[in-house]
Amino acid sequence: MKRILLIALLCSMTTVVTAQDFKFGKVSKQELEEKVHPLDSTAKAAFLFKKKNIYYEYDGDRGWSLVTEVHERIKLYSKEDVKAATKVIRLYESGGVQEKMSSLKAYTYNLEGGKIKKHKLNKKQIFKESSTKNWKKEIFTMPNLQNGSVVEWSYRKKSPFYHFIDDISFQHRFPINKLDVRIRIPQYFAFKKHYKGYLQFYFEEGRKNRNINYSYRAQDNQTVGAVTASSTRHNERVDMTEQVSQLHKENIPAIKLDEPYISGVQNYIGGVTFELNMTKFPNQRPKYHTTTWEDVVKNVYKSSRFGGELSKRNYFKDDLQNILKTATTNVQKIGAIFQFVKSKVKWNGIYGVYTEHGVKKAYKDGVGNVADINFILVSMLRESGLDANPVLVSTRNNVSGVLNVPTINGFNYVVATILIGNTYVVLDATEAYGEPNVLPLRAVTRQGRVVMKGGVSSWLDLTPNKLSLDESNLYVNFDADFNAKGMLRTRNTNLLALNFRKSKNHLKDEELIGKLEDKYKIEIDDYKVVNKAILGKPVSQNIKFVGDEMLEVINNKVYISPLLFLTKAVNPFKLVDRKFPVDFGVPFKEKNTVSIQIPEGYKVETLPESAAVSISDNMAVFRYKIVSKGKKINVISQLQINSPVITPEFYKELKEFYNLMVKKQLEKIVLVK
Amino acid sequence: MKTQTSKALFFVLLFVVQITFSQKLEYLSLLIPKELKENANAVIRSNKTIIDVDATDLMYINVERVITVLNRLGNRKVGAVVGYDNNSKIMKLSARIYNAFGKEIKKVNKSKFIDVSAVSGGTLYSDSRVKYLDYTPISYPYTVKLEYQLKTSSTGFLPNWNPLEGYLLSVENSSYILNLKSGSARVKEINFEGYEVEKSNSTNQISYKAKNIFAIKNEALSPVLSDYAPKALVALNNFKTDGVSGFYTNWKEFGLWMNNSLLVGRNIIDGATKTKVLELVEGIEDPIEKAKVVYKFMQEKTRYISVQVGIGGIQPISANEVDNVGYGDCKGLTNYTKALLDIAGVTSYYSHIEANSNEPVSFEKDFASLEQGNHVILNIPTKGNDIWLECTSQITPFGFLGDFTDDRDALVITPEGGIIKRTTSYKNEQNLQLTKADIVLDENGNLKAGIEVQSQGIQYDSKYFLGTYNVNDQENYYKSSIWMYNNNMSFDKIELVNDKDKVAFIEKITTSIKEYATESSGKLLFRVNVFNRNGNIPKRYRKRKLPLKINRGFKDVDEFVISLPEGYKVDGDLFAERKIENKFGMYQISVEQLEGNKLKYNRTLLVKEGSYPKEDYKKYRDFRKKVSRNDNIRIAITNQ
Repeated sequence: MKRILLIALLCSMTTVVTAQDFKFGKVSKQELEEKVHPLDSTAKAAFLFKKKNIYYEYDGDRGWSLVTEVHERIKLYSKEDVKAATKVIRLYESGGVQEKMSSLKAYTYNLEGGKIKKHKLNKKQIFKESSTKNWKKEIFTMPNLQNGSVVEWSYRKKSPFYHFIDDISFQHRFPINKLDVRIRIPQYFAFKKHYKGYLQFYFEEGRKNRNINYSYRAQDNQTVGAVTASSTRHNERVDMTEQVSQLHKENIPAIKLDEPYISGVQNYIGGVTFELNMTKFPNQRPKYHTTTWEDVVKNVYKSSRFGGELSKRNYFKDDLQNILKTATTNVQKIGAIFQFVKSKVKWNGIYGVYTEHGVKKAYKDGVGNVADINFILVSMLRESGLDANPVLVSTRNNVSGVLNVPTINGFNYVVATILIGNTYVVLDATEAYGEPNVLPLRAVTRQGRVVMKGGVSSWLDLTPNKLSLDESNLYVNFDADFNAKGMLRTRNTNLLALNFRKSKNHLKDEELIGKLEDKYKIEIDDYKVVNKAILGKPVSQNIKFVGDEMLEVINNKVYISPLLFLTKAVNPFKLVDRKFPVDFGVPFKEKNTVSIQIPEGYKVETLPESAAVSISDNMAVFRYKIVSKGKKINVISQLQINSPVITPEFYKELKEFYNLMVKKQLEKIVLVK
Repeated sequence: MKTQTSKALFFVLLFVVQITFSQKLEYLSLLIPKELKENANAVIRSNKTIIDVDATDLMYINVERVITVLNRLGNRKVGAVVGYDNNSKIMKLSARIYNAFGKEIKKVNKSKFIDVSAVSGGTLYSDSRVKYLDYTPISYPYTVKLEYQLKTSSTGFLPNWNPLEGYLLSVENSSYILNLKSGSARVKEINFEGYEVEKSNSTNQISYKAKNIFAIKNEALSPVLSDYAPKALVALNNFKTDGVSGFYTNWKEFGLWMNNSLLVGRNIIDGATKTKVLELVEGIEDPIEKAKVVYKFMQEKTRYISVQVGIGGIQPISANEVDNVGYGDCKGLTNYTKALLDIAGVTSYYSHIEANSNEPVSFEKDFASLEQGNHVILNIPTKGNDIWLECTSQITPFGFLGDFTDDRDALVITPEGGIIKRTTSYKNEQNLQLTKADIVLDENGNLKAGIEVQSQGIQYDSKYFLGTYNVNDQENYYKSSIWMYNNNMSFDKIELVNDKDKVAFIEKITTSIKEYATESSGKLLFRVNVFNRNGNIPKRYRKRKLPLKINRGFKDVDEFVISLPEGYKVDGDLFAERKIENKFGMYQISVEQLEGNKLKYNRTLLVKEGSYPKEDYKKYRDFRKKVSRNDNIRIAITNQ
């Protein structure tokens, strides 16, 4: 008997130690005593438990609504991270109906004098804010925090917008010790789930029966061709099945985002997006939403703010006639119409695949969203006899864009394309300095969907394959006192030309000179930008400068960095390894050509050796060539990134590549008398 | 001659055409005088503010603002934003946009302004809101005419006249009229010299007008704009704010009003906390020692959360409430700390201050107004040096202020009234950083070092937050910021000690740098200044226009001992001691040979705060250039 008791005791003790109780309010002493996160000592907070329970409710009067129950328990290792103990619940409202929050319970638990003490969140400490017309917020922050506190809250959100299930994130900036997600969806709704991130978590799927009281209206008798028909309300007890999706995961690491050359971060955070595919209510015909890319595009096209807008053409007739008086060839027409639309309608910064103001109003007011502008462009091109079409694309920051599963959210931007012979020219008139086939970085993507008349569509490869050039030619003379005098010519093409013009064209020369002087530690005597506004040509800077700190003299020997102030002295990649791709945007070539006239009375003692390095598949290549000839030293240094996106498995290689490049560039030329 | 005539004719015709379809010739951007366009991204064509104080609790603010935006950078100057709250209502609001020819191209009425909550960065909640104009310019220049009327029952915060709102903005016309149907007002005119200001003040009207204020371009190391921009500060003697009436004509009266109307009775704490505080200070006699204990208790118990509701954002939530929830904003936490000190029997005073890290801004000694100050700290009076407590931080040492609130006049609110007092200052040598390093270099150019850095004063202020970083972030900070000029750094140990008693921050670091020295024709070359290179060279100006102002002085002292690899010696002679001394400060470096094949590098850099004429800017820049150049000196060693 005694033995049995002892075993039982031991067992129960083990359970206390290993299993935690996630029932609301059952916060343990162990949880409060923990000083650092056992798996991530850098964490300032952690979700001990994070639960979401999502299901549908039916109400005879109001119909369907979507309920989300949330329960979260958070450990604060340090109370400095105020945000960790602050909750913002966003509630949507539109057309007189709104999402509502209820049943909020929230407590802070502290260890005070060795005992667990609870502090309740008071109703008075909940702030309600109308952020914008459609969004309300309820905000609260937890009382009486100490280092080591645990906070816990639960609430229920009821939404009349049952077509939309919010995205669920499986990962957070803090570690999540235990994640429970459960979603029950009645058979009447078919949602598609789109997973993202590197975590590779998927729901376990199952089915369950449920019954509800369903009320509906149905026509009294089958009327064919009749204008009116009476209907009656029916009430029925309905048996249905629900799809039950569950996810139970433990020890999910925190997401860390402070790395250079990163884009579309949201795309890499583990999570799921829901998209309504079909609704089929009892005694009604099924209503399909989207299934294939063709269907997605057809649906988009059907909208009056897409197809309808594209068919309007009267508003630009006179202007187009004027343009076509002088522009006769296809190339002239494209150039003239593109320039015209860019200057006629300015972009208001808004994305979208549908028009915002409508083409007519946008044209008249001179302002529009991306669809307004590029639809005007497409229509004018078509009207002038060109085979132009809109192309749906996903911008770099579009979370759903990376999924590559048919969904309307997979597109959030639209550009224009023209088929000439069998090549496509791509245009985006939202960007004043845009050129044909050079899209602004936001719209740089791998593919887009060309939408032809009638809504027929096909993929178009948009992978940026034109190298953008960043070229510098530097000539330097040193006088007997080692003062330098020289010329620098820079040239940028394609996206780098666009970026140059966009960031610098509105600034005065004086401003640009100041920036260059600071950057290169030189003093500029003469400065000129060439082809500032002549799109299609490389944009150049011609700079005459003097400088007095370009070389070093140690014990009568002269040491010179071969690339002088163009030397890349620091490796941008410092992390040991990396979870996200390195994203340079577009392929580019950075070419520095330097010619140094050596000072009178000196000769070369040593020159660094020429070199070439590359990484797998020539994704990145570095070439370095240095020769001395008479009184001159000529250097060519060339970095070429052929693959703009480099995946994490090649990160170490890339980092080492940059290391070698930096080291090479830091090697000195030595001159002696 | 003939061509000229026809050109002129063409111009006239153009004008005639313009005039026929547009009445707003005054908004013709072409007519802006050249001098007003110089250095300007936008020109305030006219800014008329008319304030009607009908009663102490009824005021109308009427604004008609016409601004021409010359280029993209001028968009942010449009200023079509109107704030309101529970005590005020926007009665009228509209905007009209005109193109360069003065033709109206858009009209925006009140309902088309975007209405949002005015919660900014660090604030959890505020009951203030704003309506703003969201306009995408279609060409430059363009002109916006904004008109609004705000009705408010709060008259405590009166708009001042501040015609020159910022840099790169010029003003063609600016006017300000305050009509007083009741009560009286006080005015203080600041920096009027050198500007065309017309004024006419009587008992029931205050009026200012200015014309042609040219745009100013900001320059590095120059005084803040408010040091020389014209402005008139205006305050009512009798006012009401959020239903609370008040009267003051000077800081003493202001303090009395604050104390009696807003603070009194809010510093009560009862129950367990009171007992706890009494327990904590039991047996301690010295009030300063008591205050230290109480301050620590407060820091552990609370955190900073900004919630802006209630009386004009100037009344603290009650001490009891802070005690219940464990958080508050600067007002709430300061008032709470005061309440705790009251229990402990230590006298302290709630104090208003203008917090700002860039440059200290003082209260106007001879002009009291509610509008001055944006932060609250606590004053503990002592004979001689008063102690000031920042109550919103959990880690700040007792009595330490830092650059956010140091060296400026603040308002101390006592039951006997308000008193202006100057906060603690941290000057030149007080902002000391001492670095000692033991460095071992091997024959492959790799380096290992043990470093100890001690920082005080403002140098302490800019570092002690490091203690709250995790190891990764600390390493990143050293690699990417402090020692970013050293590639290939790795860390064996980072130990940070925040000595709050001495207000000193100590960093003990063991690090290695791969390939620090580079090999070149059989010699190893390396920079002797391994751990404190200062490359800050002020920007070059062809024509400096503004005076030089060095806001903050500091002193760095470094001593590095470098062990050379076995068998190596310095190639040639070591450079001689170098010293530069001038009114801006002092710089000195030297290297000497020690026994055991070691070199000792000593460096001192002292920069003094000060104000100098613009001609000195270049001299100061030259000084910093020399410092930067000398900090990069390399030496060569060889084993032959």
